Amino acid sequence: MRDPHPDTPPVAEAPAGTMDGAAAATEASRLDRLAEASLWRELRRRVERLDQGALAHGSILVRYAESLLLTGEPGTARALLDARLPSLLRGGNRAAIRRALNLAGAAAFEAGDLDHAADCFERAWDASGTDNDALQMARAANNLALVAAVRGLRDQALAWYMIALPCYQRCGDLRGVAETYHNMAITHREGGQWRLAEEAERQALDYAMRAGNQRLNAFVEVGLAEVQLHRGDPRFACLAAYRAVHAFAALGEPAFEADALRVAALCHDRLGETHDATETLRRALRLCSHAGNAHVEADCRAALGGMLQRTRDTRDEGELLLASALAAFEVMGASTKAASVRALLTRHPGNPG
Amino acid sequence: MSSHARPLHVITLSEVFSHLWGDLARDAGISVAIQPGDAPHAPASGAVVVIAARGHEADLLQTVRAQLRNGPVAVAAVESRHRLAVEAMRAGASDYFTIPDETDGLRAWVREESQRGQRAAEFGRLEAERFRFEGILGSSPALRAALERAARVIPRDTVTILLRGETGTGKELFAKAIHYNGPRQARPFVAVNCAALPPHLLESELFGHERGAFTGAHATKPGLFEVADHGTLFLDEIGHLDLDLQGKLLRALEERSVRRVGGSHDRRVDIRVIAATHVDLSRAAASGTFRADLFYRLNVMPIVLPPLRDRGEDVLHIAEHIVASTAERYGLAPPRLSTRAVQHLRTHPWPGNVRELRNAIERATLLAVGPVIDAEDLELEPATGLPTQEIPFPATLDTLALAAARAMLVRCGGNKSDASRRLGISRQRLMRLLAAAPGDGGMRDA
Repeated sequence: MRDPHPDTPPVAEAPAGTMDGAAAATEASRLDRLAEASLWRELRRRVERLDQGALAHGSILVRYAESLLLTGEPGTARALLDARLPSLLRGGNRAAIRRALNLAGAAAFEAGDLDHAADCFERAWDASGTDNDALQMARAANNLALVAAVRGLRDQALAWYMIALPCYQRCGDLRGVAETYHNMAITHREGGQWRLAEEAERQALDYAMRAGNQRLNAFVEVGLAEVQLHRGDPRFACLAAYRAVHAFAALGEPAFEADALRVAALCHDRLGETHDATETLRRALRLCSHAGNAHVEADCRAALGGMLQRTRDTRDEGELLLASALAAFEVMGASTKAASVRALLTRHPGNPG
Repeated sequence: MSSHARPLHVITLSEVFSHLWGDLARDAGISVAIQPGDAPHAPASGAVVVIAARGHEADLLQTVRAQLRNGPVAVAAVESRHRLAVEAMRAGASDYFTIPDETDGLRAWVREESQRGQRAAEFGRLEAERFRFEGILGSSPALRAALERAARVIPRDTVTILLRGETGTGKELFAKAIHYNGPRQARPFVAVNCAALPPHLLESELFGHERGAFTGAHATKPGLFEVADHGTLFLDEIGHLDLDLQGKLLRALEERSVRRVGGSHDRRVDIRVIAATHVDLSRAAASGTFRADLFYRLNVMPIVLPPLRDRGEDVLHIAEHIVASTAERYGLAPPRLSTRAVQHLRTHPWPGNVRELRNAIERATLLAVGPVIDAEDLELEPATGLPTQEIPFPATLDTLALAAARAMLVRCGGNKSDASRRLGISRQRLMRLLAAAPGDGGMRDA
């Protein structure tokens, strides 16, 4: 596997003490370079070494919140943004406000609070549209699509993705284009439009490769694995899923490593390798319960629950897992997933529905 | 200094910050042009604009916005009054900075916007390279005819194009090649699949909506016609468009303007429309399922994309290209196609066209155990020439089942999972049905 961080930039030591405007701008530009190289842990450590006053600067605050989100600390990111957003909104740094609104929405989304997430993303969309900030418009549209998709409003999700794509194009943001195509593929998949899902995933792969983004490549591998699995090709799908597992492990992204493991487990299951399937899912669950990603954890619980439920000896454990996944999906408003788990639970009389 | 970087264009009524502009441009590594605000001329396309006009920002912004609809424009002012900032934002400013307190913010904004411009230009350049016509693989007469027809219409960038072809023939690839090889290449290419959205949502996506126009319209949203302004709007699966929406589309194409749902005024748009379909629209127009006037409006320059089975040796060139690119992507030594595999590639009818070929070859390349891809590794469907969509009658139950399976497979573009789901049988059962067909065995390993 290639080095996941090929463009590590040289960055000077973090300054200590309080920070004036010029020092903050210089620091923000260093953080931008770390972010561009996806060095989120490094970025986070750097900000944590700075004086607390540094977070009064909008551009540093948003980069730090982003690093928390991407290193498996969505709860901390959310608490930080909830505490700092009011003062940021009172200030005049509109660029930071637009980004912070999108990040606050993302933190709420990861915690499963879809209503708050949608509210933040709508405010980000409005603010970005007013300020003609195509990049934040694209992010807000992409995020609103994600919320709609989780709520089972697939048409609305696709509509938001369709508008996010040209916004990302306008900024020349290959990564954003790739991400949007990948998200679009997930929505097509959930709607049973497998051909469109595959096409979108292939577009995503193309742009992700051109962006040289290992993280996105890994996401797309997971997506393609799901398509291949549906096409009835678990052997081929398994290869793609494990490529993604290794990529996410190297990137230090346990929640997504867990999601890739979930797909690998489904492949094992389809190949008749039941023991490998359940063990892989148990490993995935351990990973994502530490990472704090409610969506992936619920997906893993649902998958493991479904497998264990099929065997008499493990049926009770399976049903407990399914019930917990159902509760999580219902809290998140993930209606389609909740319905499919409910259908599994109601297969056997006397189970909670 | 990059040749693609956006220049800084300053419109000012003040000499106070004259030293600042050069400093900002130097820091961002871009050139700067300073002009007096009493006689502003149009900034260069893609410029990063800063207006410093001692209270006259709103007037200047209107002038600049008329010339530069989407570009980044910031206001730099000495006063930090909230009212002025709000007025500037309302008049179309992207940001507002108070000098000298927010000079660093302005510096960061100029740098970020110029880099964004550079990325956008680079994006357009890469897309143009990726979708160049020479990159479309194949030399069959059928493909050449389509390419030559497209090449003729590229410079005439307001001419509407209708692409016709079976599923998997590469209609979107062709549309992108037309866009990125033409004069609109630096502008957006916006694709919309008319079959993917229900009619009411598609209308608001195409034409946009105002906040509160309908339940759920929480935010104002520009339509895809507006988003594609100065670029290309690609309407895929146009044959699936609802009749009511066909009328609205016709009006937009004829008047070159759109009105948002819930909006009160029309907005001019300058776009090229490329529509695509696998449906015979002339037949649909004759049967009344597609408006004849819209068909004629779209059919200004029809281009037919040939199915893979009509492209002769192209199938081998494309297959070899896919083997090489897949092997490169995954760091493998590229396997070679055996004689029998080549024979299979030549004789298979490819109902799913290039999409089906790509899946078969990628799979075979990744799962190949040796240096050769053999016929069995391709795992192609048993084929009996072109599957017929006719259901024979009278016939035995087995014959009817086989005919229905084949017809559905064709409808699903060769996708077995999709076909089996629609037929309500398992994929394995579908495979068994097709494999048991008389005469099919001879095609697998002839």
